[in-house]
Amino acid sequence: MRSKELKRPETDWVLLAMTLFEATAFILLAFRDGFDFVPLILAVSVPLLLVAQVLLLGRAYPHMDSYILIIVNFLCGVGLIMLYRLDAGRALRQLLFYGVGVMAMMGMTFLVARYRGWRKLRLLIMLASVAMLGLTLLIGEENGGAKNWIDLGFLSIQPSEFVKVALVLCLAMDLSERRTVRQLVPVGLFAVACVGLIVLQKDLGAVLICFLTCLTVYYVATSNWMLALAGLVCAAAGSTVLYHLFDHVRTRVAIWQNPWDSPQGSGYQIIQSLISIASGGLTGMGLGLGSPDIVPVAESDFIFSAICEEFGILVGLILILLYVILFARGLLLAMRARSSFHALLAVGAVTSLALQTFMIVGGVIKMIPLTGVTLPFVSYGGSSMLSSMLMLGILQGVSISVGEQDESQWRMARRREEVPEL
Amino acid sequence: MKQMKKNARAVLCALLALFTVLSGYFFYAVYANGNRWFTTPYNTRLRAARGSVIAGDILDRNGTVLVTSSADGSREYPTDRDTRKALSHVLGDVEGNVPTGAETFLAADLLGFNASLADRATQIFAEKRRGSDVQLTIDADLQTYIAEQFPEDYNGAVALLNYKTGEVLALYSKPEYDAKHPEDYEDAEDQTGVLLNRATQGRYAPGSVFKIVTLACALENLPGVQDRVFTCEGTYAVTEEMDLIDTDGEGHGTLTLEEAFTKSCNIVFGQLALELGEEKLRATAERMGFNGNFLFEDLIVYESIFPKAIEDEGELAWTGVGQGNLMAVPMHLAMIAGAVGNGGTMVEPQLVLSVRGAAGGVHSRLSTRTALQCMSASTAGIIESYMIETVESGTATRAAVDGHTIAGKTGTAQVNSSGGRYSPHSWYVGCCAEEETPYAIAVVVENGGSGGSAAARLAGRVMERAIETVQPAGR
Repeated sequence: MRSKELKRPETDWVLLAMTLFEATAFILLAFRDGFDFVPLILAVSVPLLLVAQVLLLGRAYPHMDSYILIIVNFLCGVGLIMLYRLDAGRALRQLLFYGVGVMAMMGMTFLVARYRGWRKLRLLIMLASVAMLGLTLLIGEENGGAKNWIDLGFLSIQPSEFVKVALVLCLAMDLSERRTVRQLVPVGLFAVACVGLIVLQKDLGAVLICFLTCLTVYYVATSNWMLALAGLVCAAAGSTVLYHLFDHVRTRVAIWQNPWDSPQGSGYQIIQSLISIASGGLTGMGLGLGSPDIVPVAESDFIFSAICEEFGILVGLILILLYVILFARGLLLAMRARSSFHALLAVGAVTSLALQTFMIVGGVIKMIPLTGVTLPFVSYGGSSMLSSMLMLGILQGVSISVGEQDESQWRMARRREEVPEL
Repeated sequence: MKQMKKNARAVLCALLALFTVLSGYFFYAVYANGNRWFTTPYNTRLRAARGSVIAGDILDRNGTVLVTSSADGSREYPTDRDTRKALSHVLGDVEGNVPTGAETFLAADLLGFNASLADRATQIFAEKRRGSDVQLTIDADLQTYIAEQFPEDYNGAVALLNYKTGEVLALYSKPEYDAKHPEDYEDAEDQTGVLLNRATQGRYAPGSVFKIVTLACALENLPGVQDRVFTCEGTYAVTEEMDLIDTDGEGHGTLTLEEAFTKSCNIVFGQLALELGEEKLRATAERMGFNGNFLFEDLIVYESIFPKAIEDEGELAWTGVGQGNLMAVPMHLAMIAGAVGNGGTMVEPQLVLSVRGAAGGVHSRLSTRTALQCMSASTAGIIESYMIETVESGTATRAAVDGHTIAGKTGTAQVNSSGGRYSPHSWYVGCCAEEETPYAIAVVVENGGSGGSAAARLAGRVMERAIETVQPAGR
């Protein structure tokens, strides 16, 4: 039974299909109007990045989850294709973020799998997070009703993205070894501080993600569903308060209820998104043949609509399916983990990514009110790419330690069988 | 640890459920609303596409070309002014002035957005791509005939469909529009009134044609109602302020349910509504599509409205005879009449017969689908026999067609406006109860007086013409 889990998954054909998809798309983009050689470079380098990661990292760490790795890199690839089609300059910057993200992912993987001194870092992570959020409030830039950017001149960062990762780490650390309410005061305070500061930034998408991630991790750790439920009730009450407090929340809800009231004004974004999705139909307009650039911020918040317009709803559904596989494998890791620290890490990372995916996809198809969060790994944005990659690193780190533990146990079992009892 | 594993599994289940709902909603929303989103006037893609794509032709069911693209890509509507105006609301225009016409609602086909891979492949090297040709179910000659026969100086609408296949044969709205001369309408007092397709979007008080619904409700909820004997004295005091009055107020004496229907007796039907109650009447109306949300593939039909709340007994009685706050759309009433002829099954109306791609392949788009199961077959049978009797000896004798079995019901809908009391709307709905010519019709002549005269006479002529001239699809 153990040997089955240890067998390396057969991923070659998936890898081949995805490589071909990426290469073809970039080659198509090269011949879009006139000839452009940059996409040809991408047609080689992006698939290469994918294959290299799977081969090299797979060899270095045989217990990395290659499905997760392939899925995430494919998502990044689809994002790059769409970005290049929308705005070549942004795509090249995104490629840089992607490369940095892969390195950040490897670093995080290593830390989670090997590093044993997390407790020493705990206070530092907490203080740094609160400081960054506080700084954003002081010198932040406003964008779409939310004040959540810090402009460093050469690049802007969105601290709330990194705070999500910090929250997942701290929650897992504290909840895995401390159980009484009193012991949980520090991490509780930290969570409240983060959520509160993000509320003050009016970045309500991030608030929702952080809050619900905290609740989920807390519930998984303590099985205290009463308190988790109470938290949900609080969230509902809090949302009502925020609804009345913030104008832009009220507008968002009103737009969601009936965007057709103001199709040229406040409802413009969402209506254009729906039109864009509907234009593609099942199989899409074809890469470069649609007009997804009509939708405002198609490169980040609305990239899912752009993908649906040109690649079709079927590809949109496949993307959702890929996310689901990613999240399901993450949670299966949590279920196999031997230490509660690792289990909670995986639960936290998956919950945060899953909520974010659900909120933005549900938002652009007008299923729920739109919250301006990014589609993990696909949307344009350095902070978003880095934080998503760090989450991936957490999952891979858990995967490695789970795999190694399984293997050593399996070896011990084998040894016991081989040595005949005297 | 074990508990944590269990909790993680719970989280997994929750996430799976969440994303299943997301995918399901996504697919359903695009499937149900996709074309409606795509064809809104806010889709700038359509405007852009008109510059780069030669839109396909629109043909009628007999293959007559109604709209075509000239060499420079501009749209050419029928040259004959009367034909062009008669068809104005069905065809619409490229500007989207008539927001629900074929030019807009079928733009995805006409501009090749739905083109198959083969169609796209043949046009890789074309300077300008060509969209697909669309053949409508409409009979242009019949529609022009309706325009000629429609009472002069009156507005209104006619909807005619095949109630077995769903093919819409005519969809006429007056006042007419002229897509070739939009400037004629710029100064019109009530511009939207001209641009509205009254057959599919006009909401009118239905008057006595609604008695079909009340009758269906009574037949399905009051056992033995057919054998009862009613008395009509011309007036009936429902509440202290509200009297139910018959059209002429003289009273029909004693009569059976069938006689009450054929003579369109308000007293009997008002009392039936009181006996049935608001809930049952609303339930029957909603089963027939009132308050529903029609999401038909080929055309937009607004929903008819049965009031959400009825204030008192007086309003309830008046609702039972088609007054009160009821609102009905002509096309929808034609569909209800069709359901009566079709054993209680309402089929989805269809406007597109076939689509011919740029590569020449013709794809039939006619696929008969049930929209609603309105009533049991036995109820439909009884209503149909009453409606046939209405045409033979009741209020709708003017709708008769020699040599054919016609079922019908007239209506005279009182309209009160702030400006005073106008002549009532003249209504007729009915169907031809024959296998070969299963046509259902709804006619409304605004302020046309009694339903038995203006609307029934027009309906009779149109039905006769349809029976004689309409050719089956795929001839």
